[in-house]
Amino acid sequence: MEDAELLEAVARQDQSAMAELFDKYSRLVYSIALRVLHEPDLAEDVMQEVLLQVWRQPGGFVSQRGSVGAWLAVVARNRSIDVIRRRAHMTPMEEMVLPEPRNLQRAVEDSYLMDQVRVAVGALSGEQQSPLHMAYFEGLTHTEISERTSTPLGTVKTRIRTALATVRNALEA
Amino acid sequence: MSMREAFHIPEEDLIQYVLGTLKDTQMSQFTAHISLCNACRGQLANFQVELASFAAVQPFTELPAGARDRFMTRLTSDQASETGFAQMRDKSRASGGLRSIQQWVESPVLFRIVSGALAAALLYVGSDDLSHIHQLRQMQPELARFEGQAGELADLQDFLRGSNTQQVSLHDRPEINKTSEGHVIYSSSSGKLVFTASNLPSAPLGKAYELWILPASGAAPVPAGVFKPDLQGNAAVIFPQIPVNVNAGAFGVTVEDEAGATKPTLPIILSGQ
Repeated sequence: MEDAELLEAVARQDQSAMAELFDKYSRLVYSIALRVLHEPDLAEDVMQEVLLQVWRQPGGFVSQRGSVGAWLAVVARNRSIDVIRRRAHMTPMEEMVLPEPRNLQRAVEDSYLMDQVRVAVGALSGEQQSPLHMAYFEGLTHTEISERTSTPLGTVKTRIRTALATVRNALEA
Repeated sequence: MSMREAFHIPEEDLIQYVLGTLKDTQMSQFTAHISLCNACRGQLANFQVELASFAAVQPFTELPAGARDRFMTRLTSDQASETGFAQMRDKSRASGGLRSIQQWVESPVLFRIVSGALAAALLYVGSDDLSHIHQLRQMQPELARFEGQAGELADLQDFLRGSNTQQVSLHDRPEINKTSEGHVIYSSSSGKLVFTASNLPSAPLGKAYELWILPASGAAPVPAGVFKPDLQGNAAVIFPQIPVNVNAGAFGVTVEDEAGATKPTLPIILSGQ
């Protein structure tokens, strides 16, 4: 079942559709949460809450916000960062209605594209990947990354931009 | 080139916006701008997908044993009561919104981003409720009018920063609609008013909504602008032509002919004091 159909069924409180959504995205959500939190129990709690959020408020996701996978990734990451920062925060990104960027929104569900991205990211050196990893999975600001790694702020920004450009190029190849 | 088009958020700031690592004041500023700038919204969408893709290609971890069963059990027993997230969100909105917007109003960026001035009005009255992002877009015709009128913009800025304004939330009567609401910022001394509304049903054919000031003196209601909601039910009235020194006892919204009325017709759709 396509995601749009799944969400429609979830909106009708169809548990089998929710189970299918779980099977499709739970590993993504859990993996992101675990990478941020490093604690399986906490990561599972976040995964449950993120997916239950879809169940309880299926209108919270609208197709204009992009792909379900990309949106769940954003929410999973933000919820996990919330946990480690002990904050209660809803970022504007989660409610932002965005245009579809050149058919990229389905990228997260496209295994071929993801393979391309995986190869491209894998080709980046650890030094090139590290700032983006710290920003995404640890929720550090550019300045904090600069201080923690004793790297000039400009270099941190450049490396993050370069890493994202690498992802973009792989998606558009 | 309009002022709105002349300014775009730098890439590194957009990336930090997606990551949520900006300061609250910057988040508010950028939210206001992004809501009105298609170019920045497009860039933001790209970064969102790229970051999600970056996350998605990291090695996956298998779920703990029994995780699916635990989830399905919880799903089955789940009640429609408020979730922890909803409570967190409500708490966050209630506590953080006014403060962050106040900081934003104090920011010099207000002088450079015309769109920000209007966004401030909505974000301020909406207590940082992000549903007002949709209202921001609804205000674009008003924005266009203000872009060429620096004097009025300065007035709006002063008005929003002023301490002698009334701010009133208008709520529907229960039997009409549970979710319609409006917000008024009003200064009787200057005769200036900003009104926003959300979740309004479409007005009947040939009809429109009209905002009224109900004077504290008991004098006849003063018309304060005719408006129609957009498809999402959002609407705004900014600086309607109203007399000065009308001390408001309450505000109300009624349905009138499109041309407006000289006195309100019952029922009152929204009211507040």
